[in-house]
Amino acid sequence: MKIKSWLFGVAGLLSITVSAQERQKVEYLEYDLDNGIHVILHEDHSTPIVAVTMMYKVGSKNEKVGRTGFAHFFEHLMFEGTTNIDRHTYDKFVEGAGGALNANTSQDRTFYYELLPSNQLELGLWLESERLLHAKVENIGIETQREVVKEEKRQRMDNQPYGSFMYEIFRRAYKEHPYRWVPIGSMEDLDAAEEADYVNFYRTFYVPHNVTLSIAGDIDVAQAKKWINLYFASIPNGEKLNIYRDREFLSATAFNKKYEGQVAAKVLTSANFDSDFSGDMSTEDFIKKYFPKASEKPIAVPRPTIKEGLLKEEIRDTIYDNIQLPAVAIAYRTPELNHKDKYAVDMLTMLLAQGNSSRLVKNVVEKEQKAVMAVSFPFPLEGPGIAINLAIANMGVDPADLEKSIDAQVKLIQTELISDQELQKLRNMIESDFVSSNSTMAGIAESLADYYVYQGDTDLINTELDRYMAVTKEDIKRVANAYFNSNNRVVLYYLPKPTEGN
Amino acid sequence: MKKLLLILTIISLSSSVIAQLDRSVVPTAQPNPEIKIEIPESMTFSNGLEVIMVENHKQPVVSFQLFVDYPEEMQGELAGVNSIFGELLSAGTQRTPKDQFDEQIDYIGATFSTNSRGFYASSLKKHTSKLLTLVNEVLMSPAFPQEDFDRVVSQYESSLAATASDAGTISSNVSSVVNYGANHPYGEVMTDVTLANISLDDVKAFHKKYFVPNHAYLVIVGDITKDDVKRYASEYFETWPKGEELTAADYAVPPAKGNNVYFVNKPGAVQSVINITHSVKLTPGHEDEIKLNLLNQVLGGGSFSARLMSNLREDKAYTYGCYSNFNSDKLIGSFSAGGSFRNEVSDSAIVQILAEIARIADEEVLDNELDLVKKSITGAFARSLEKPETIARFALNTIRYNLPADYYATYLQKLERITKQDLILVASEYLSPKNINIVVVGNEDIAEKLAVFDTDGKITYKNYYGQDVERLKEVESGVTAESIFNNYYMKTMMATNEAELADKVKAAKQIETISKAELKAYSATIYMYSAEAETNKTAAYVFMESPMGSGAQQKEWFDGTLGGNVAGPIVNMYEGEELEDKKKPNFPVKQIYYKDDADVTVDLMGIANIDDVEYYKIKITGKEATIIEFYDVKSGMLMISETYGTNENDEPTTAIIKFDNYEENSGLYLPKNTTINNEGLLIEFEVVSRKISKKVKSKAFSGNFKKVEKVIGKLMKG
Repeated sequence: MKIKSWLFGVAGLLSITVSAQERQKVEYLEYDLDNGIHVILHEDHSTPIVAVTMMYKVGSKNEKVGRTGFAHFFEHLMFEGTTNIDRHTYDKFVEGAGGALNANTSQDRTFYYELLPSNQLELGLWLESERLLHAKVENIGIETQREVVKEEKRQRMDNQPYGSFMYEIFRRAYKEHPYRWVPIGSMEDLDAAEEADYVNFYRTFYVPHNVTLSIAGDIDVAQAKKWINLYFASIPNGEKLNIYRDREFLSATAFNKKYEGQVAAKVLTSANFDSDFSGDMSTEDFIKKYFPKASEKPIAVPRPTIKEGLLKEEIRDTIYDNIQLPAVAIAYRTPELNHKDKYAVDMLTMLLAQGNSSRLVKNVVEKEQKAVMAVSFPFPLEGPGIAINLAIANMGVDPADLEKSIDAQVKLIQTELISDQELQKLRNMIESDFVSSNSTMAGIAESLADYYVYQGDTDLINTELDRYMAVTKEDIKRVANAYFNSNNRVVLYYLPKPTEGN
Repeated sequence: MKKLLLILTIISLSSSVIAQLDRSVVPTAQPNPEIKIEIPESMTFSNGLEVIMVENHKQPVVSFQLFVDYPEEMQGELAGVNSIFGELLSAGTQRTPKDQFDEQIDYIGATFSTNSRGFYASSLKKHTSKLLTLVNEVLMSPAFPQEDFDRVVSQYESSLAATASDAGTISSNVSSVVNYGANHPYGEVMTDVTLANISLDDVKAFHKKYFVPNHAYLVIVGDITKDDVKRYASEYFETWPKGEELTAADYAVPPAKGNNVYFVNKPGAVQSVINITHSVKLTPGHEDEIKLNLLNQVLGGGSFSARLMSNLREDKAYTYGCYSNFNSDKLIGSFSAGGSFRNEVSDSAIVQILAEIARIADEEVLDNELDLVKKSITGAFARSLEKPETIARFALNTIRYNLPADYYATYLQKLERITKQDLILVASEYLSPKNINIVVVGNEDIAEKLAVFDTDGKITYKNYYGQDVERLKEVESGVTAESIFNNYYMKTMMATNEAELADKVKAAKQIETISKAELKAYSATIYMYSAEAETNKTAAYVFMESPMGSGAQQKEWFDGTLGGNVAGPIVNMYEGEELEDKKKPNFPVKQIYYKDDADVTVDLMGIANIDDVEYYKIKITGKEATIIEFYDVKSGMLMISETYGTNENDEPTTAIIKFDNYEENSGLYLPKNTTINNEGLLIEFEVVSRKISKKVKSKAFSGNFKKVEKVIGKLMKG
């Protein structure tokens, strides 16, 4: 049956009903190891590949003032090698196996991954377990990566038109919370990092109970579990892990000085200590012999405790950049990721700028031609987040004029309920996005870890659609008023930097 | 001994649940998984549209990608018309105006985007027929509304303006221009000028000529069966009428000579975007392509252990990333290497990249490098099969480039057979490290340091579109346009102070010059008489002697209040604005009067360097024309004058006059040679005689050229 002239309205609405069951359910299995590592496994044999991923719950929000950018810098150092992996070879193991690897760092977490042929799963597990247990960071690596990270900052932020907009927004949208700086941090802070920082950071955050191992692909679950047990369950936690790392990275003298007289330690002054410490004795055996009572109790990972509510009055500023077309960025503070309003805020931003029929694209870009492009997107974070409306002005358009146009569209949503048809459009878009997402093993592994780590509910990978479908027209109007109001926002104008001469 | 070991192993296994693991042992791989590739065969619809279908039932989604493989042709004055067409293709149809079209696409949560070679459309399976109804309208009757054309053009104007802040786009513009040259479709860049030339009719003409099913491929991927496709064919695709057959034209690229540095100034840049590149004759599926893929992986493929990455990032920390690439193409391919580097190390980065290119072209790669990249490419190949789009791409390439049917199925075997000797052979054939373009977009502070990389030591400065620009030095303080004009005046009068000048002014009230030029191409000789007198009298007479006949070509005169000119049979008396303009004082040099002329603005632009001579460059903007003048910094004399104006039909005209061999003539310092470049026709005049008088006496100023004709007549005989 071909509908030639396709009428909107009741008939159309009835013909499209949400049926999420169309997508195959993502089956998975999850469990905790004794040391606290959370494991998620997804089995799919359609292609002989596997994604091995590790999500550490540490990001720029765990940094101290004066050390901004450290979490991301540290991520770079995590490719330098381990006790058993020489410098500049970590990546070669993966590439030699026909795999690929990389990592990224956000405000909330650091994510490492290896994409491997499925016959190399064990290699991926070994590599990631090495990184967690005893990553080795040497001065030469620190100095090199410090410069590399600075180049990354220049390339992504300083030399990119509008590249600083996230930095400029976040530093104004938060007063106290560490979200006020972005993961790339500052050049000065990168320069200031010292040896003690690396040691403390690794000890505090790179611990078993702070990581989720998520694997998706062509795996034999029983075999995978055996290997996970072998490489990961054997990693100690708590005080014992600290001793383990100290035995491998400290000098005998430094080690002795640190542990002298500690309750958990047997006599370190005994005759064989020096030869046991520096000799062939495995670290496991060394700990058994000298620290039989070392505690494996996880040491709590510190998290920022600052609670920061919405903004109380508008913040406005102008940024001069190497650009030709002015831009307007309007950032509204939104609640944290787990807040019930997340879904309505997501849909509000879709209503504004997803698709050519969206409010901003249709009106501000096409009809009024005030902008060459307009986007609206949520930036959900574990702590309080933001949502951003961003538009780049058409040539000759005053940014104030552009701002007015954008605001007019927001105002309309605040005052008038959207139509049933528009709500249905949003639902159809979400359904389509949801069904099409998770098409790769790497994507599934990351989504599973995300849902577990942030929302504590791995099954959202199958059920989150229901939460969107529960959002009403009234919810969208309500969140538009609650969050997209002028007292709760940062407005930035990007203007071309005045140049000297002509 | 063996037994003992075995026993020990058993003990240690049993003593603890978690066997003590020797972490220094690298795990060994399980047996290699089998890689299966099945390239689907294509179908051809009745209108010539070739269809490739890849079934994938994992998700209830179907996508349709249309790729019209029309041959690349130059668009010349209309460069960029294809991009505008690509945008406008999504501006609704004759049945469904754009707003409704967008609404309907969004309502079913579909994706629909267009480009100059077709579209990509995707939706949930349950909405496929709705999506295809709209797609069919786009194929049959796109709307191309004027208002959307205007909108798209205005957005392109804005984005062209924004190019100035986008180093990546600038680098790619300049690289295409220098690699492929001005006479190749790939060397064309849309500029504000070509954009202004494009009309809606041009877009429609482009659509009519190029958007035809008989040159197109339709790639369908997803939850679909062959029967579905057959049904869709007749319902949505076969009604798209066949167009004319198009044949590909041949284009040549300029051969690179030596290393050339091209620099684009991007004020405020904190990094240089460097691209080291040249064109490469490499067609897709050529037997050398896999070898070059391997070679590139060693040099600068995506991995951290590739030579460029390991040298410039992991060892020297010059950059966040440095990569290289071979690009194969039906017409002409390219090689490129580069990245973004902080200002201070930009030159060092070029040294290292060039060294790595030279090294890989001169020396065999190491066994372990070859082994590593073979494994890494094999892995990447296998991983890419996860996406059904990869199989679709393989199928498309197979028919589009006429590859053997098993090209992809045997890809890994072909890869495995390649030796390091093969690599050195293709490296020497395809890489030309001594004839390479070095394109740098960055802060001008670093430009001078890059001259060493250029074979002839000269940097070519480019603008954002890849066109040549000269780069001006700043003028020393104290020098102004007025001081330059004044100096030129004093030098012309050969006076060093005001008193001398006053004497000279009294002695030189009229200058008459007769010059001669040979126009060899026409076997012609031209004589020109010109006269000037205070304060605004002028006269000129041009006589040409040629095998085609001899005679006066042009006369013009002005006596201070009246004048006119004669060209052929047409007499034109000055009036109105032209007359007012003639009345302006101009003797002995017009430049000294500019400061009192309200119609003229003068701008000292800077110091230009042309063939190692420095000139003050001054822009003089008048009502009718703009003149650019170049004054020799050393001598102070006017050497070049470029006039940009328009003719009667409002078409732009350019006249360039060069002055040379200044010498003394009765107390004045004047050029012996004057070369006129009139729209490409060069006429080189040399002074035959020159007379400087205390009195204004030439009758030529009032249009009487009898005496002049006599003198010239004598000269011709003599």
